[in-house]
Amino acid sequence: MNPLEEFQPDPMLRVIGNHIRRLESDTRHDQLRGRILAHAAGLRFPGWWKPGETVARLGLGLGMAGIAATILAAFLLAPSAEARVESVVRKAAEHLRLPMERCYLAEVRQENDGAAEESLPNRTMKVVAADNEFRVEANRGNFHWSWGRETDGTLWLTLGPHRGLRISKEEQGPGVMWMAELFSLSPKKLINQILAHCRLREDPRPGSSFPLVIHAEPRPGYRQTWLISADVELDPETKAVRKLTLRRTSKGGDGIVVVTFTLIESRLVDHAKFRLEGNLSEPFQIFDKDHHPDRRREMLTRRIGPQAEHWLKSSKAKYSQGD
Amino acid sequence: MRETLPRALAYARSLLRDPVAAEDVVHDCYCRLIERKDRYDLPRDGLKILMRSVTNACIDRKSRERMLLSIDLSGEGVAVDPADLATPDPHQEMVGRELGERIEKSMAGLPMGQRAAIHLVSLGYTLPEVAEMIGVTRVNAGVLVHRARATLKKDLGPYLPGVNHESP
Repeated sequence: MNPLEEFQPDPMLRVIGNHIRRLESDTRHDQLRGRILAHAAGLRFPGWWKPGETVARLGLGLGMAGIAATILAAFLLAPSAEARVESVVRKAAEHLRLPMERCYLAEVRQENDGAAEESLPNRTMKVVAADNEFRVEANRGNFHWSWGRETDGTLWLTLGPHRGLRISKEEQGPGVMWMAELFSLSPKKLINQILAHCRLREDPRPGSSFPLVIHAEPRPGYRQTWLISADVELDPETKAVRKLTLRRTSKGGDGIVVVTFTLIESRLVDHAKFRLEGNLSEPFQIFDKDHHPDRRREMLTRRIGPQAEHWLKSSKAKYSQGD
Repeated sequence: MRETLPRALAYARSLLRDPVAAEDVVHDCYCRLIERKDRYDLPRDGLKILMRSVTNACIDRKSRERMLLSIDLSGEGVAVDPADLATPDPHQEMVGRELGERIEKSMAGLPMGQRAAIHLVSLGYTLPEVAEMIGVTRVNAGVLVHRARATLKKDLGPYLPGVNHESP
């Protein structure tokens, strides 16, 4: 017996129930959801950071973000037979030109956990991007660190709360320059990318117009072997890119890696936070090309190992493409 | 989360009458649930546990406010937030319809236990489920629903055809 039988025919409860459901459906909860996801991701930080693997992981994370940006570029640029998709693309591009900073939760996971050797622990980082500035925030155990790029192209990295280093444009290794360029998720920069090789279509999903999902796949003959597919989720009203999910082959080529960028929030740009000083606490010490330049390599190497060569140009350094 | 978050948030707002505080409460409850996810069968019990957690957190929050204000206006031991009665909630203003506003106002005048019970019952939860979610016995849940109905009937009856608002 349903103990509520007494209440169910009550017209007053029905009206109240309808009112509550209307409130539920009118409630905007995207930002709260982002906060919760960010918290959940933060809980996983200690698990995926391991000593000695920092740069490999950072590099892979950067690579994934680069892919995301590339696909977004393709998404923004590629022509489509569907007028609706074209219209959506235009609106998404317009939205990305707004003077806002966008905060993404970037997650990387292995689609198939089978291949033990190639197995990839889940990892998460926060990416904040605005125009041609960006910063990446990550945790390694209890140690929080961030790196980013300033408007003039200078890259910076924090080494604890009171020390940081800056690498000017002419000192940057080509690998990290390329990745940093892609990391900004800037439409202006992306338009200069030449990858317009994806076929776009709207995900049919009958009966659900929310959210709007664009599915992208490489066109036949496109020789970008790492890309399998991408899904771009847009806000149905503003056409803001809310989520970007990429499926790509792993480094070894025998697995699939899924990378997801989830928009946590958009807000007015705080330019100070895109500068090194804005991420350090007083008193701080900054090492750059004018202040103990040689100590930067030493500090970088201590922090991230031999991969420091990808950050700081050296006449002896040899760079691997896009790693 | 897409399915449960709107429900939990609307529920917390109904109990607290403060959208910002409601977001904080729901955020904390989700985070606790995620941290302890290994202890629960979330696909089966997740919503119940979440709503219970939101209920407790809202009661805790209101209790702290009451301790700070040292005001207890309720005859049954559950204080009514005086601000609810005097000040229109921004959320109410957004409802935009007379009946909606009336429902909001009437619900706001209920003690929190009654408000929680009537909110859940109106969404179709059974009394045992409501009892579990708000942490009382089934009998107590029935009493809370009965009292809330009687109060709301007086307030809303004139607006609802077919509801006799003069009899208890």
